Amino acid sequence: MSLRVVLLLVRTYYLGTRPWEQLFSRSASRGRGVETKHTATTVRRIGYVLLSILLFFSFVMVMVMFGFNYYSFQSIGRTLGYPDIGAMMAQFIGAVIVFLFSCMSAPSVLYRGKDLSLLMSVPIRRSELLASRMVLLYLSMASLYFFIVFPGIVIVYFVTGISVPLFLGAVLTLLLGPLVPVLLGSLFGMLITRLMKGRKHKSLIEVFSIIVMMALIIYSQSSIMRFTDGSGLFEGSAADDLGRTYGALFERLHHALTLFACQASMLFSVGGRLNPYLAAAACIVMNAVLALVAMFLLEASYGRCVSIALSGEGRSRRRETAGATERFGDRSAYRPASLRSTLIRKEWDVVRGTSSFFVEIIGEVCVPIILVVVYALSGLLGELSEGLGALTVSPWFPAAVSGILLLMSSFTMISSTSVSREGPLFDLCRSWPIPASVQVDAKLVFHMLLMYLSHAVYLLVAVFLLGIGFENLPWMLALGFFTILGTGALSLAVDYRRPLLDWKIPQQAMKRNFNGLIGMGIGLLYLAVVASAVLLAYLAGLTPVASMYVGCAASAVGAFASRKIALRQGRSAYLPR
Amino acid sequence: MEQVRESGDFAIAFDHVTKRYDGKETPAVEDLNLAIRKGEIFGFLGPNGAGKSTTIRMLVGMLRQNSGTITADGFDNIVSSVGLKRCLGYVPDEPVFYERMSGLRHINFICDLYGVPQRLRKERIGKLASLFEMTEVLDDPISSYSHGMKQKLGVIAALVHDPMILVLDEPMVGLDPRSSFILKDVMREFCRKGRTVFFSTHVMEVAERLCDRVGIISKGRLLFEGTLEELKLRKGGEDATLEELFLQMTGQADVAGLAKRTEEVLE
Repeated sequence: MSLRVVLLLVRTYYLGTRPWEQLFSRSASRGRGVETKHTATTVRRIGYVLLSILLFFSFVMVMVMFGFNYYSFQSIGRTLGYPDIGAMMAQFIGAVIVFLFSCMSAPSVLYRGKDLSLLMSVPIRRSELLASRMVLLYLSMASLYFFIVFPGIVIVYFVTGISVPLFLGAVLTLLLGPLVPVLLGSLFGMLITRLMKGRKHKSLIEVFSIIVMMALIIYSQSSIMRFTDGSGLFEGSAADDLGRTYGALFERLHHALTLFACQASMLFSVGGRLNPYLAAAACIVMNAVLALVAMFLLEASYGRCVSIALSGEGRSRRRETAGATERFGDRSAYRPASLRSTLIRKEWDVVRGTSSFFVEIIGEVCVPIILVVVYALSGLLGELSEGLGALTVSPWFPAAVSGILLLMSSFTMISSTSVSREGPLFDLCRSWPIPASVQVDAKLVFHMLLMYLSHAVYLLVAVFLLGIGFENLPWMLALGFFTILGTGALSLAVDYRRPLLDWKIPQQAMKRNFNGLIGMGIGLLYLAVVASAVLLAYLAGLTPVASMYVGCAASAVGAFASRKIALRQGRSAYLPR
Repeated sequence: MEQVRESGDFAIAFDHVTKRYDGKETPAVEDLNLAIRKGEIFGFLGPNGAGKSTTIRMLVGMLRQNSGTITADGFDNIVSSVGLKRCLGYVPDEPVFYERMSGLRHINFICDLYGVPQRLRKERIGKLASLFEMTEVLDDPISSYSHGMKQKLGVIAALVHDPMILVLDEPMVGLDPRSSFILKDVMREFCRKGRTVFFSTHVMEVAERLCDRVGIISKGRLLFEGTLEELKLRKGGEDATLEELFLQMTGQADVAGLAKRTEEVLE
C-alpha cells in the first residue's frame, strides 16, 4: 500500500468536493444559476456573518453544557475516589456519538461515493482506496469528537492545572479517541451493507443518532438546572446527593469501560488509575491492534461491499417505495386524487427523498416528545411538576403553556425552506399547468399537517397532564391554528421570494439556508405581536381568557394577511423568469 | 415564416423574441421569429450554447423573454402560462423526478396534475408503458432507473395527458437504438393526428429523417428556417447531407482542417 497514493486520493477528494466551501459559502446564483440578483447582496452577506456568529455561539453554548456535565461527573467521581470519571464519561459519550454517526456515514463514504465508479476503474490497490476512504471518514468524525470531548479536557485542566501529561494526553485523546468508534462504525456499516444487500438504511440510523444527540443535549441542559443553585453557580451538595445514589453505577461503569478509563488516565499526572505514560502506551497499542483487525476485515470484503452497494442502487426495492400499495395493473393504482392532495403528497415525497430533510423535520416535530421523555427519565419532570404547584392556579398558566408550545411549533424551518428543499425540482413544478395559489396552499396545508397536528396533540397532553381546565381548549386550539398558519405563510413567502435552489448538498437547503433563520425570527416576532395584543386587551380591562380570545382574533387577522403575502410571492415565483 | 403565419394555421409562434440573461452582454436568443405549423415535426438545430434550450424553456413557460411574444395553441407564455402548459407535453434535456416515487406513481401524479380521468389513465399508462417496454419496472423507485429509463419515463409522462404539442429537448440522448426508433415512430404518429412536435437535437441523422422542417440557430440568432430541400437550394449543395449543410451554416465547415488537427493531437 502506497501512502502517497492514499494521500493523493484524500487530497483530490477535498479539492474535488470542496466541503469547506459548502460549509461557509453559498452560491450567489438563483434558480437556474444564471440570473443573479446583485441587489441585496450586501444585506445577505451581513446576514451570513450574523448566522455564522450565531452558529459559533450555539456551538460554544452546547460545548459549555457538555463541560458542565463532565464537571458534575468529575465532582461525583472525586467524592467516590474516581477523579478521572468526568474525562472518562466525556470520552465515552464522544465515542458513542461518533460510533452512531459512523454507522450512518460509513456505507456512504466507503461504498457509495459518487467518485467510486471512477476510482474503481483506475489502477490503484483496493487497500489504498479503502485507506483513503477511512481517512475521509475519520477526518469528518474527528471534528464531531472534538466538539464533544474537548470540554472534558478543559474540565481536567480546571481540576488539575496544566501539565505535560495533560497536554500530551489531550493530543493523543483527540487523535486516537475517534479511531475505535469510527472503525466499529465502519464494521457495522459493512455488515449492514452486506445484510441489507445494498439497500439504503441511512434515514433510520440518522434519525436515531440525531435523537440520541438531542436527548444528550437536553439531558445536559436539565443537569445544569439540577446541579446549579438559583444563581446558576455549581451546587456541590446536589452532586453529593447524586453521588450517593449513583455511586455504585459509576463504579461499575468505570470497570466496564476499560479503554475509556485508560484513555482518561492519560490526562492526569496524578490521581488517574494508571501512570499517564503507561496509559498512553497501552492506548496506542490497543488502538493499533483494533485498527489492524478492523482494517483486515474491512479490506477482505471491500470489493464485494462496493459491488453490492452499486448493484443495490439499481435493484428493485418495492417495499421502500412510497407507492408500495400501487401496483401496475391494480385498479387502485389509477384512482385519481385531488390536485391539492397530490401536491401535499409530493411535499412529503420531497422530504422523504432526502434523509437530512427527513431527519431535520422529524427532529423539529418531535422536540417536545424528546424533552418530555428525557426530563421524565432524568427525574426533572417530577421536580418541575412539584415546583409548578403554585403556578398552576394562576389565571395566566394556560396562556404560558400555550405560549411555550407555540414557541416550539413556530420555531421551525419547515415552511421557510419549503421551496429551497425542492432544488432543481422546483423548475419541474413551474412547468405544470397548476395555478400558483394551489401550489402555495398545498405547501401551507403540509406545514399545518406537520406542525399544527403535532401542536394540537401536545396541547391536549399538556391540558390533561397539567390539569388545565378544558374550557381553555377552544382558544388554545384556535390560537395555535392561526399562529402556526400565520408564521408558516410568512416564512413561505420569504422562501418564495429568494429560494436557494442550486444547493450542492441537502444541508445547504435547510440548516445552512438563511431563509430558515429568517423563518425562525418571523416565528418569534409573530408570537411577540400576538402576546402584545393579549397584553393590551388585558390592560384595557378584559379577563385573561377574554384577552386570549383577542389574541386569537389578532392572530387570525395576521394569518389571513400572511397567506395573502405568501400567495403574492408564490405567484411571482411560478411565473416565467 | 410569414407564409406560415399568414395561413393562421400555426401551433407555435415566436415573434421577435429576445432573451438576455442578467450579467451577460450577448443575448442568449436574439430577435427570434419562428412559426411552426400544426401537424408538423419541427427540428431545432444548433451547436452547444446556441440558445436551443433557452428557446424551449421560454416556450414551456419557465423563462421569461425580455421582449417579443411566444404563443402555443393560442396561449401566450406569460399571460396564460397555465393554459399554455396544459396543452404542452414537455420532455426536458435532463429528466428530473421525485426519485423516491415509483415510475407508476410519478405518472399517476402527472395524471392528477393534468386531470386525466381514471378510466383513461389506466389504458394510456398501460399502452405507453408497453410501447416503451417499461411495464416491468414501473413499480420500481425512479432512483433505480438508468438515464435511458428516466428519459422514457419522461416521454410517457409527457404523452399521458394527450397534449396538443410535444416539446422535447434533446430527446434521443441516452436512449438505446430500439427506444430511439420507438420515439421517432411515436413522434410521427403524434403528428399524423394533426398535433405538433417541436424538438431540439444534435443528431443530424434524426433531424434529416424525421423533420418536416428545421430551424438552425447559432449564437442566439436563427440562421435558417425551412425544409431540407430549401436549405440545399439556398446553400447550393444538392448532394450535401444535413450535417454538412449545418456545419456550413454555423461556420464550422472546415472539416478537413479539424481532421488534420485531431490527427496531429493524437500523434
